[in-house]
Amino acid sequence: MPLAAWPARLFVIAFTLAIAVCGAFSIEAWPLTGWRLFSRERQPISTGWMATSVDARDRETPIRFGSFPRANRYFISVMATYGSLSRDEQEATCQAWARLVRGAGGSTRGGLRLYATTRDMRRHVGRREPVAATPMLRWTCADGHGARAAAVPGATTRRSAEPATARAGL
Amino acid sequence: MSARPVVAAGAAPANPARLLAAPLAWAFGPGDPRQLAALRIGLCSVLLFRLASRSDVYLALTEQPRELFRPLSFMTLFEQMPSRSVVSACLVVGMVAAALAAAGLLARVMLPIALAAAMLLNGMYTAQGKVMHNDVLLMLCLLAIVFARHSDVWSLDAWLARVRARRRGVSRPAAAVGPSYGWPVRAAMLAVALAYLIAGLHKIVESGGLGWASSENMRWILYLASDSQGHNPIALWIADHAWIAHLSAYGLLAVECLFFLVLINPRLRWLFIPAAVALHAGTWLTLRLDYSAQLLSLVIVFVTWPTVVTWLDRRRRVLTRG
Repeated sequence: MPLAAWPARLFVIAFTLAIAVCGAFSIEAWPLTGWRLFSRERQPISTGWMATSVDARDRETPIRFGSFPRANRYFISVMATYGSLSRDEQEATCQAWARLVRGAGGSTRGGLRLYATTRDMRRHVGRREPVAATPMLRWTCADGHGARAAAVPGATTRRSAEPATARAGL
Repeated sequence: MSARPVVAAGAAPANPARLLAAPLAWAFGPGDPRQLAALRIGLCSVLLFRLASRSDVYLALTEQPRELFRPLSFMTLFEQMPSRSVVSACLVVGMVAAALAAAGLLARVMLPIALAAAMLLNGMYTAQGKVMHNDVLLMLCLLAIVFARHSDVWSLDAWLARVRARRRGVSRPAAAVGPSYGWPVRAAMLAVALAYLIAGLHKIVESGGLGWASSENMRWILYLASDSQGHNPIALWIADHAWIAHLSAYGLLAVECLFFLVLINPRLRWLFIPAAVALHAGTWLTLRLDYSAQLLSLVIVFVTWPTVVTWLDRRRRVLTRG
């Protein structure tokens, strides 16, 4: 049986190996990818992120990233690596969000606050309403003093997180 | 006493070259030029549809502040999203090239151009901090056929070549089954099968077994998805019925991990392709994640189009006679 020419064979072998290696070792060399689609097993306690803008009277308003232009909605994904950014990069990222908030008519006179959230999904069983998140302050930024981690790790403020934070684990 | 291994009477000794012969013959053996042409037409049409239907998305990406740019792969060559004029040009060039490649006019040139434009546009899409898988399989399937002789039949190029040959009084035989037409189709099949297998294996490895399906994982995914959408009655209904959630998780895992069997036994396409279509339809209904490009690529690659065309032709003739 006649087989394909050598260049074609080499191409297919290299192409297949590249897909397999990137997949096996979770290498993200897009369009070659690790194909990690919902691969992490979700636990009953779901973690996520939320952000609030703070006005001059220190009142906080949850930021609805879903209402921003499409390119600026991936708050959760950006937060996944936020901790590894330099302080200047963190502040620059916050300033970009603050501009978007102001563009949407919000106030950021007191800066932004970034919270890690947890939700107990067991409380959702048999209930229609979203489960409220428990936020823990992690960073304060865009308030003229630069981005900084929360001084007291245990400092928590109970408030209802915006539903979009539920996408954190996806 | 002889140290030679005991081999059962009549059994052939294991020979690596012999073991590899069957897969090599499958991967690099002859193929039907019409099947390869069908892949070109189908995949380029899907690409055209994706670029046209999401042009507003790509244009919106140009407004992303530089500080929020999170590039991956080749997009790290950029310091921010390309400008609106670059993206507009890419969209126009990509759509025109995809349309011409689908029609088969200068297809060997147009397909690489369409693919390059789509790579940049989808590379932008995945530079938002999250790896986007929606169009990856379409890109990979196009990459599998981009260097192939995909326009020897069912193309304007082939038709024009026939017309020119007729004018010169030369007979031009139609392209026949040959080794140049098999490997691109098999490479695309391998890409699809590997994508599902790897996605399934990650789930098994990360949960240390079948925990991904046997635990409450699927329910938590669906509750979270419903909350993120405001309210999704289908997701909530499945999540509220634990056994349905488990059944769908096992089904999903089975489809992903066993899909590659269609390469070994083509009859299993009748089982796994509808199952994969159901998987993506379910993902859309519950999670609102658009994997239509992946679904369409899968159907285009695995349906035997010459058989479909022959069957339709026969039906048409019966109806005409009737």
